[in-house]
Amino acid sequence: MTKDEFVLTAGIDLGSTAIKVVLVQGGRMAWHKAVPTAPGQAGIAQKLIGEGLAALGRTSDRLTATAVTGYGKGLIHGAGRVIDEVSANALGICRLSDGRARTVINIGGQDVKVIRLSATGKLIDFKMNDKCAAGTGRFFEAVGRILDTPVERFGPMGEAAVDPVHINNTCAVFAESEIVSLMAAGVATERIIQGLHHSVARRIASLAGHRDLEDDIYLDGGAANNRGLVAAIEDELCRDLHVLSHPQFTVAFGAASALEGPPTY
Amino acid sequence: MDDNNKRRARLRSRVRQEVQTEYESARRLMEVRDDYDPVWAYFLDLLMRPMDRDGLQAAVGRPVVEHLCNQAPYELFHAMGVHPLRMASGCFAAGRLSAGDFPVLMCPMLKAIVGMQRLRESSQAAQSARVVPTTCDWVVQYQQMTDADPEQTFFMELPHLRESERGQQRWLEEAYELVRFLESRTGVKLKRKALCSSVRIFMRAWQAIGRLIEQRRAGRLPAVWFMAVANSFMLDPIEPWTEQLQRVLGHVDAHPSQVSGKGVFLAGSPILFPNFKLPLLIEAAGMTVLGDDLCTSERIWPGAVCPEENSFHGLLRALAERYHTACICPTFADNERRINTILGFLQRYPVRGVVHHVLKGCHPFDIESLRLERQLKSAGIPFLRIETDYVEEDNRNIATRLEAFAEI
Repeated sequence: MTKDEFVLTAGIDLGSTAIKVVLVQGGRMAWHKAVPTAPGQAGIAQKLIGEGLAALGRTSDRLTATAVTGYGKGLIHGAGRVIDEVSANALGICRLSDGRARTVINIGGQDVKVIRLSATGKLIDFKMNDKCAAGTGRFFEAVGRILDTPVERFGPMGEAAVDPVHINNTCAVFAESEIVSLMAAGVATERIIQGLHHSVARRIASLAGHRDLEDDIYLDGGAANNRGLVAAIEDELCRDLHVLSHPQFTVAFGAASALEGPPTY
Repeated sequence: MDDNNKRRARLRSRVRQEVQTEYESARRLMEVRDDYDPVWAYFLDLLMRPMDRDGLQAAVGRPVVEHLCNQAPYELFHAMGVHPLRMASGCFAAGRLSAGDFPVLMCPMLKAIVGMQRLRESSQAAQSARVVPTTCDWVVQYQQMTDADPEQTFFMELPHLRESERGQQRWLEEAYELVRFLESRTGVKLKRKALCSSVRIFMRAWQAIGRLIEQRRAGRLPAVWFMAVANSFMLDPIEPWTEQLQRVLGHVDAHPSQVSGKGVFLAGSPILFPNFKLPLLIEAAGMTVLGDDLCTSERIWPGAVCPEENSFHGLLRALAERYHTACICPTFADNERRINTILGFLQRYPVRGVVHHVLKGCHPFDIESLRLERQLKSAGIPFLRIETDYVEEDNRNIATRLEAFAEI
């Protein structure tokens, strides 16, 4: 083990729905944890770092630097690096894919991004939804409440549906009322969920613009754990998607990676 | 007064208060900047004037003729003893007063204009004559939106083909019609001498604005100050305004400083006080606007008017041509000139990309952004389209995009 491998860096992603913290050791994600966003974000992040150090059996003097990103990045003072979440996402997915990713679709708590990057993780171009929340993590949470179904179950339930309903609306508010109508009509929850996945997939495909996408497309953000949604987006884009382990932590990992130099792929 | 009328009066009073708060907050944001100097106070004072339309009328010292868009030559109004005042507003609170009567996705600027008018519906100013060049679909519907007196409204029919001789000839005819309209309203017969004098007066203003534009392009003037000056155009008589602008130029010369941040070009829909959120967010993201093609900013300047002959017809023709051919509004069907202007700017100045502002509901700029994006990206120039309106709830989302754009 080299000296560098004893050194830890931290990446904090203060998102709109979750605070994600990773500890990076020797270029690899050594520890990660996410908690819901709540007041006192800076304190929560520091507490998470302490928890991570304890889990790894390290003391705080081993932590050489901290980088911060996300909507709340301005709340953390004294960070070694403050980086926007789009650039952090590009860098994170580049490192985690060993330089293979050229496009990453991120489904965040409040926004959806389609990011194109170079072989070294440099941001080339991106598209992002405006203030509409359709297709974002927040939208899935709202639908989960209506369906009385935890979002974590959306994936397997959606996959089980053989005949998804067609949900027309991409507006979060109207999609919700459409779902209520479908429930009232007795449509099975599984069919509604998979219909929802396809509705969100259409919206993402529209944002992405098929022609602009290079192969090696990755999907990250918490929603990437939803296999039903992944399949729907693949169908809509007519491309395979790669989903890495811990897709919710790519951006925090990218922030920590920004503390180092550019990768040498 | 019945209950409903009382409610309406209370609502207007509440909105009037909100409008005032919005204007004052925007002004305060400018005054607390590190680069604030008393030289800007005059322009900030002017920016507050639209709240008090009667006061504004008194300050300009001439009968006011309101207009939409930039195509009607200012020199004509001035030569006939009236003061042209652009109907434009970036006020969210004012828009709230009219929003319920219009489509949700209607241009927020038009909503704000109508809202501001409703706030002063009992004043004399509501009786002003109005000149409306027929640019976008919203503007064309202006008459219906406001129930303005048709006798007091003159639509200048803007030919949507600009580069053709036919279009230019038609526009010249419209300029003559405008003269006839103004003559009928003022009782003043437009004379060649008065027009010559007016052209000279405005030429001084155009020259000063041209110098200010160069200062900004050289990175010596933050975009928000440039926009403050541009937005105050014609909120005072032209001569003192030009004098104050000369003072600003002297100030910028005497206090040379370099604006920090990566240079960008700002294109698209108009940006109006008190809504300076986009230029402020661009600045906060570490970029600086070195140039723009907004009709409320650099494009208020049509460039020098160069008559081939000093006859009345020669002057009118030169004015009409200048205001028509120099205009790069996307309501023109043949608008290659706009894209070429942007590409030319990018070649001459240290600009890293184009931020394209689309006001929600501003279809011409929305549609044209697609072609512009394609052309710029194929030339390897970063392009960011920001679609927004007058609310602040999307500030964080826009800031995220701008911060990332700065890193491309």
